Amino acid sequence: MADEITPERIRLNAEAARVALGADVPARIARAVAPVFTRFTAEKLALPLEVEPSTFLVVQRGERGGE
Amino acid sequence: MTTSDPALLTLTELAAAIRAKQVSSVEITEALLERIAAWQPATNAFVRIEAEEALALARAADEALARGETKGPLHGVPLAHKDMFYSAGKPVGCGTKLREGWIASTTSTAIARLEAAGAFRLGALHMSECAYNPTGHNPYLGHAHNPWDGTRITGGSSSGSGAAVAARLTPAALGSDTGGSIRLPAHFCGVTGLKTTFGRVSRANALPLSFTLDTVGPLARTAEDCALIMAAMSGSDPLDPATDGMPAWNAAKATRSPQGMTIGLPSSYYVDDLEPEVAAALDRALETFAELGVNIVKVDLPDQTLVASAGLIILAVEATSTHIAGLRERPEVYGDWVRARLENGLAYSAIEYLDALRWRGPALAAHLAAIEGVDAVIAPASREVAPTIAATDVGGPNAEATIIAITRFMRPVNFLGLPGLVVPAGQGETGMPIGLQLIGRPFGDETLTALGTAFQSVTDHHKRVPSLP
Repeated sequence: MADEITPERIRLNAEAARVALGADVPARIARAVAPVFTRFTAEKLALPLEVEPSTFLVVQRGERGGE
Repeated sequence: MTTSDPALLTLTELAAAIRAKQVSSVEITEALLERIAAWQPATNAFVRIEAEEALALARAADEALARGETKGPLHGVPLAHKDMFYSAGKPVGCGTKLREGWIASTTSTAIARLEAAGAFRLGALHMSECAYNPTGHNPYLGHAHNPWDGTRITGGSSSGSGAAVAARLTPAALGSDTGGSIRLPAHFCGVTGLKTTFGRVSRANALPLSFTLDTVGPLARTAEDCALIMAAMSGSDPLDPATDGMPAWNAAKATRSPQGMTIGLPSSYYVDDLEPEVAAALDRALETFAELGVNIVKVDLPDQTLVASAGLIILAVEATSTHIAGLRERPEVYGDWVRARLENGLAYSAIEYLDALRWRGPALAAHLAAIEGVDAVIAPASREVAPTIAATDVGGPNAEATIIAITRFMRPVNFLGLPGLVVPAGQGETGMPIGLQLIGRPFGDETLTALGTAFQSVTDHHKRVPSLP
């Protein structure tokens, strides 16, 4: 499936989040986020299974010895 | 003391002058209140001025000093902060109709620590709505205006903090930085601002926006002043788990000589497509640091567009989550721009958000590998001086593009949780300030203030004061 932000996807996300959007809002959102979304998904990150959000803290705090 | 007007003293000079009884807390408070009254119509920097209460606290500070009692290194110093830090019993508006009439029942740890060090409030400073706007526009409370040119933006979201420090209405101010909200006002208004390492300063009892990216830090006249604030408020706080195990401020490291340190100049991204006056300021700063004995090397950073994109996805989703109740039940309380940005967070899937979040650790590791042996990376804060309020008006269809352009050099620092210090480094043809950014290693906040202090010991960009229009 192509990585693409569509108004339809945004409309479904908004419904799931119980946020009411005007009829033309999903299209506006799709245009607004397209550059960020496209850049990020183009990378097709393949992260190791062991990597989790708090891996950041492990890397960050590994620097404490240097400062 | 080098000036007869106490309002023009730096925070460090002022705190020392009060302790030495060269100036009283009442004198400085009166001087600042006089300047605030004069500048407020031009800048809209304050949302609340607490003159009587401040003067009472100043009198109490003077009386304590007369008895030989001092609370701490900021004894008797009046300060004002972005209106998102809670003070028990006081209204905290956070720049939004959502918090209209809201009275805080708790006090933010950062404020409590500054008060424990002897500081007190002059009032509260303006900010972008919900801290979610990099320009300083605020449709609810009116825009903040740049003291150098009232037609231009202050930068945001710590808009009042930047304007008030620049106009010498407070010697320093707290701000928050989730995507540039301290560094952009510092650049656009010509003051010094420190975006702290993620976790160095407690965010407890301050308005959240993005729990992964939010940081608290000072805006002040000098890097030395930022260090003084950090010494008082940084360190572990049980109310903010992100600070767990964080080191206290190391004053010796914050004042060490920069001789032998190494600054990295990025080979791309931060040096691309700069306005000539910004590029010239960067070149001059490199020469200055070289004269100070700092080694300058080129660094090839990982793709910053990818880093910035990951940061934007995290910010978008977390901000929307933070405000989901408002978005569902009271969307009309948000201004058009903030509501649109909150709606944008609905675009992303859970997988995309978590991919960005999981990648943060590997991305930081790659960044550290690229800057091995480098103490700080130097970069512009923005490719241009402050644009006009009209040119960045957020009602148009290009609002998101405007945000991305203004915050281009900001977001990688937030995503990677790094410290970033903006110091004034020149002025453009129009007289508007130009700031440069020193991006440190994790926990390298002290290194940045040491570099900034050395830079400001041989330059005078930070000494320029705007004139009342």
